[in-house]
Amino acid sequence: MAVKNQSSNLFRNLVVTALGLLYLLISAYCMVTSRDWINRPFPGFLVLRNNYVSTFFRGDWPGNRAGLRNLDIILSANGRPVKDGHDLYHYISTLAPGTQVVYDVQSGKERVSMTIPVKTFTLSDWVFVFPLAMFVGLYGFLSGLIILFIKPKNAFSWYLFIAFASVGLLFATNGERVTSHHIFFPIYVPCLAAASFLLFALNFPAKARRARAISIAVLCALVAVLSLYTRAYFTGANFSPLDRVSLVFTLISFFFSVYFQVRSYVRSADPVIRQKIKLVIIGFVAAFLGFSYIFIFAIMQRKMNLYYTIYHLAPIPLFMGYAIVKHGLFDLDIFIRRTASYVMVSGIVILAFFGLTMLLSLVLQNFTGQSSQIAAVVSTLLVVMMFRPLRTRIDRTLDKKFFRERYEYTATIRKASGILAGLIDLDQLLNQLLNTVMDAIKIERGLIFLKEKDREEFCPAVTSGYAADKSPAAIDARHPLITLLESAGRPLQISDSEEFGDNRELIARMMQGSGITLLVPAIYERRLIGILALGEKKSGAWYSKEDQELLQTLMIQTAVSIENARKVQELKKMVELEISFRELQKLDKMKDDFLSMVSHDLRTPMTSIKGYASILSEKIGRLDQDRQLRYLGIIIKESERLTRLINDLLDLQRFEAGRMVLNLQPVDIVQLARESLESFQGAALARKQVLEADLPERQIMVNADADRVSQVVANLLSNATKFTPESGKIVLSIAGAMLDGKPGMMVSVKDSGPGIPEEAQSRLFSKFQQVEKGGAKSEQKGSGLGLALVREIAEHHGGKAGVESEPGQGARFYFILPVPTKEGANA
Amino acid sequence: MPRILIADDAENIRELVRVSLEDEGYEIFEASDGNDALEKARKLKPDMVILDVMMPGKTGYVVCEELKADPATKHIFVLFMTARGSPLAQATANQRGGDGFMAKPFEPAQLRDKVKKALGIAG
Repeated sequence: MAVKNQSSNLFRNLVVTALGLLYLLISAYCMVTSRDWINRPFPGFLVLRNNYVSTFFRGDWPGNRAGLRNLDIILSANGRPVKDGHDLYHYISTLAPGTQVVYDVQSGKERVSMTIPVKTFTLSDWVFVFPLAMFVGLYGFLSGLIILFIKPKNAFSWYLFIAFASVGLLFATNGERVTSHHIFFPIYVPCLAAASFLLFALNFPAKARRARAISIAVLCALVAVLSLYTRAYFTGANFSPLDRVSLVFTLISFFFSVYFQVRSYVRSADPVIRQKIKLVIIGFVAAFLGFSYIFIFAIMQRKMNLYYTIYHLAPIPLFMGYAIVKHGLFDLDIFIRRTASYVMVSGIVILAFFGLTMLLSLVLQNFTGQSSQIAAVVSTLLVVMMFRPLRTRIDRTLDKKFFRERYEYTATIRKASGILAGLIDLDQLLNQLLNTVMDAIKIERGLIFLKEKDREEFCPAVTSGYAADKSPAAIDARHPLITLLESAGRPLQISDSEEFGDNRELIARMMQGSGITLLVPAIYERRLIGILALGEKKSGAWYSKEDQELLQTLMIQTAVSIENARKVQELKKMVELEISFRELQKLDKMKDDFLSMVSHDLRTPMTSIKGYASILSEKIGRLDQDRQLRYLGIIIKESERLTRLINDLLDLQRFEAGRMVLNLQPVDIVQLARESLESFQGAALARKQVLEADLPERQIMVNADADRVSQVVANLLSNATKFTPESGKIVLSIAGAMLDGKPGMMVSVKDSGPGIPEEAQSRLFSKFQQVEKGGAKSEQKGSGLGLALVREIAEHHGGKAGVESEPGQGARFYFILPVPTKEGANA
Repeated sequence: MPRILIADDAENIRELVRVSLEDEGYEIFEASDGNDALEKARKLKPDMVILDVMMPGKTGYVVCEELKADPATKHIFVLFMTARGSPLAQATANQRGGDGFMAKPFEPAQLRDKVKKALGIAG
């Protein structure tokens, strides 16, 4: 793509340079040869090579005063027949200025005799005839150039450039054509211009292949017929067959151009295109009127001259009409900037060129006596060399001085693209992008479409400036618009809808419906991943080529950022999903574990209860009383255990649901501990364990729910007696402790059991993960609820619970309750 | 006279099993944890071990695996008896080499039937 662009640019530059050089060379040649005319005697009017009079020059010349009219034919001078214009000039130049010459003139159908004095061709006459015409020619040439540079990719830019360049040449050689008569080929360029118009009409707004073939065939036939006809009809002097053919060709081409434009207009339903064609047709009509003047005139007077191609000035409205529609020259800034830049450059170039040519030819003439042609060539080369750098410099200066706003917005967007590249949050990125563009260019509304993964459509990701219910709908990924954007890879403006291919009406309607003027594709790895869609500029102007290029560059960079942000987003989503999935799995497993643990712990006492009850009922008569009593005892004990378990479960559930209400009152924790200890002495004794107390000798009051704290102490002691091996030692103690930097009272139960590995310690107090999985051998028969309940109760008192243990050294379970500061804490 | 080893850390349960089987003419032994069970099984070579899963020392699963791995004790019928009554627990017991499964709580009569069948004694 890039390579193709470069080569087409190269081709364009070559053609433009060649035509430019040709223009300058011909101008220079005309300038140099015309110097001979200064101070030379001439008839007081100018004729073409075929003796046709041209009165387009100064009104005060004797020829005009004597009543010579356009297209009069000079037949003889002083009775001497005139062969051609050159012959006439040569004869007159031998006479002294002021000499009266009698001419035999054919004016219309009459032959008249006129007496006109010989005049000297002054310097001011020279300026009027030569340099002025060249400036007009230069203007034509540059106009063609502007169109070509604005829209280099369109075939019709080329047609118009060629037409303009040829008309420019026609003008530049105008003076020469009515004086020296050396260069006459540019008089055939109207044919070239007309052919260009025809090609334009056949391609605008869309190619008409069949029509092209037909029109070319008809053209050939008509040229043949009509050129014979004109030969019979026009009987003027020196009217060559080539003249005739070119005249007919020009005529027919124009006729077809208009025909095809009108046809396209009638056939098209797209209002944008119709609007454009309308303007083009107006241009054609104006041009046609200009041409038809010559022909009406020619038919009326039965004589004609192609010199009057001067009426080709008439197509200029056509070009302007075209340019305005086509290139959005309503954007006055750009129009002024370009015009100013070209006018300045051309002014400087022309002045330098003519100055140099005159100077060099004077100098060379003095030294060598000839070589004025060398002067022209040298100046041409110099001017060509300085053209480009000069233009670049002037463009830049103009931009900075007079179009700061434009200069600043491009700078803003360039800067923003750097920032955008660094954003990895997709929403942030898209919002920032849209806002930056809309603020910088001042746009009514805009939005960004993004291709949704797994969905075959482009959805609006961010919008701005649309009413809430008017936001554009998603675009199907198979919509011709998407295909077009992806293959074009460049911005599409609604004003360029003739470039939209076969589906242009569908696409244009879609854009109009959504209030979108410009679409800029975001392409990543050759796929369209998003579209920046912008509404009208607040100024009402179209988007210029610069705007589009800038936005395109921005979107190329942003496409990468969007893709990155998307990947990050997807990754995040995946990670989040993975995490929540794992958490759910974990929770699920915890629930399962809890249920199976609860079921296990409920089944254990149930086993004894049910089993012994069955035995009793089976053997009620056969068992001795002791055994019966013992079995009943087991049943009662296990029932109590079951009850306790169920109560613990319910308590825990209440704590967790936040429905547990504590009855807080001042409680003597020492007294409470002592009472609990006594109630466990029996159990300890049964396991031959030593149960000791290490309690202060005084009251220590805490704000607590006495029943709940008793439950905590009982739980800890129960665990200790259960898990400490027989003959072990258990110590219950109370001591001051710090609780998050505040004074607290610690109640702890130390056992001489196997201890608890560190990794199991943190799990012990949670409801779920424990018991069966714990590494501690002695905990297997714990319900697993006791410690969870201990922790809940301690924490609901504003305290905490914990365990310290080293394997083999026993374990020390504790809980700390806050102490009212008034009471103070004991060490 | 068939010999049966009851391995359970809860004394209540051991006694319950013993009482359930006492009139059937078995010789009954007891073990109170995993290691004890393994040791006694090797020494006494019982015909059946009624094995609790959650025991101090070694779990019932481990005991079962070790018994089945040793040619000397491989033939011993292992009857798991656990409060983990889920199908998963039963599957695990089978997988670990158990020959039979009994969920707690149990009916003494059911236990007797199962033991009788396992030992090949016609009811």
